[in-house]
Amino acid sequence: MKIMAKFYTVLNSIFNNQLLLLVFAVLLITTPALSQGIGDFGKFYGDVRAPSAPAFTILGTNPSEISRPKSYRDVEFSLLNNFFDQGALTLPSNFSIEFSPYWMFEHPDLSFKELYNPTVLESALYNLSFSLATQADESQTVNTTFLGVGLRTVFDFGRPRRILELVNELGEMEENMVSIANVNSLIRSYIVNQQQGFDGTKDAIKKLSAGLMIYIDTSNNLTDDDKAFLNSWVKFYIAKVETSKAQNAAGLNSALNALLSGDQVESLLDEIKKDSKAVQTAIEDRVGFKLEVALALKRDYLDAQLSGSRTSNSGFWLTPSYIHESLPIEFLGVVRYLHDNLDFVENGSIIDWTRNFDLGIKLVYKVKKFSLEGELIYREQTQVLEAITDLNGFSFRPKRTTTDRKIDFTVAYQVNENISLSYTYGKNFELPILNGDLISGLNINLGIGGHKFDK
Amino acid sequence: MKIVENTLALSTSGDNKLTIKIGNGQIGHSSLMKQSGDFVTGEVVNEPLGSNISNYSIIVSTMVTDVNPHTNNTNISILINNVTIDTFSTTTNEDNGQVLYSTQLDF
Repeated sequence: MKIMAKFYTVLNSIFNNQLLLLVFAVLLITTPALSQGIGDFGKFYGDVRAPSAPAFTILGTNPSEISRPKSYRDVEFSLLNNFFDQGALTLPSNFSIEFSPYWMFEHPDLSFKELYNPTVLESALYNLSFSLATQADESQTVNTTFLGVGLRTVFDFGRPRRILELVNELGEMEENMVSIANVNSLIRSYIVNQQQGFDGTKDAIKKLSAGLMIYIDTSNNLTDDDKAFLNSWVKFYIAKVETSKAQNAAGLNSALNALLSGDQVESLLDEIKKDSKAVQTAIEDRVGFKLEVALALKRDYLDAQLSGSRTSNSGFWLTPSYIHESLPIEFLGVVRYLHDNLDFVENGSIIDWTRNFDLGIKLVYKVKKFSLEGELIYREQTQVLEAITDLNGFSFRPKRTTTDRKIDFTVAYQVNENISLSYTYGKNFELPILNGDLISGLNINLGIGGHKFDK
Repeated sequence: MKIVENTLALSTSGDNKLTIKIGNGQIGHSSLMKQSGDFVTGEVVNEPLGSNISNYSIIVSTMVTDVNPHTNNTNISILINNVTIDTFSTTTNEDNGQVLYSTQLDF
């Protein structure tokens, strides 16, 4: 522990933001790429976690433009726009879409408390996401379009790290939100119920100002601080009425809207936004056991035609994990099944299809910006060769099963929200086809991709 | 901040108890001034508005902030005597953004 703490202190003192760019530049230019490349089958399956967008993972793509519709109408529009051409169903060459079905609808009965403490099934519904992507490959003899479809969710059996009563930001937020709401209620209530015949003259503005002050003074259930706050906002409001040259009730209303959208309210809104972000983090900061599940399928379409297609890849991921309440440790399990129908030649044999079944564990230890990770994955690979006919005329398909394992350790440093630096050392899988199995590589993650589903 | 204005015409007969429900798992707080001059703030649940309200408009202001990591959609429901009169919805301009729903109840 002491050694790690010291290492962290040294790392943190070296990697301050000013030196970081210089260090990155030097490392990028001078560090040789020691990590071994792996075949396409398995290239994007390195992370033990279930992928956040399985459709993109199974295509082996990281699209730069992803359609993220917020309503079913938008989903419908996006699909109709891209999959139909002059009334005929076609496949677009490069299209990607990702959405969360549950959140396509309004949920008027879903309270904040229910969101903060969902049941397991509710968490699965909230986290359910659907992804679809297409990718064209014009390098082959026949143009091929690949279609990836995926589904992902999380069954959360845990609980929030902080109970609701300890989320201090809630109280501060309520105070600021009620203050702004009070301004609107008071002024609009006066305009609708008390104000008559406003014509924008100096006398009318004077009368408006005096009337609002009396309205505040005669209100009940307001503290002296509340009244002082409202009085100061009436002054802002009167100034806005003067500058906007309002001449009737509609003008008074517009002046209030302008005030509540302007600079005076900025600092309060910034506070509310900061607290909202903290509350959102509290919602996502959960401990205990959870299970991530993902499924994906890839189909190949020749010449972008729907007939003559075949399923070339399929995948299934199960990631059970456990985050301890007080220790900075996360345990992850890996259960991963990948099936590839792609024919290829290996050592003179024609492989008809390949299936990988992975089982493993990973341990993550995190202290502030520094983390230490270790993983061990066992792989069983089954390959079925193309059918061969023996001397007796019987046709059969030879099958071979091989096992392998991967073990590696990673040291990582989170520079900021989007950039992390890591070094990995260990033994990679030799399967499917590798020139060597040593992993030794320095990685920089710029926050592209990853398993978080963004709203 | 987005401002959403709406007007609802309501009957004056009988006791009217107002509830403002915030949906989509978001956080919201309300403020309203009754005909008696009483200010009501915070969570509004079965708040008596009075039985003899006439020719008066109650302005209910509800500030909603986005805390839901899955969506920026917000909605509020206006209930009188536990019956939903209407539901208003909109999306915040940004993550963790705010919406002010200003609902005028005309009696």
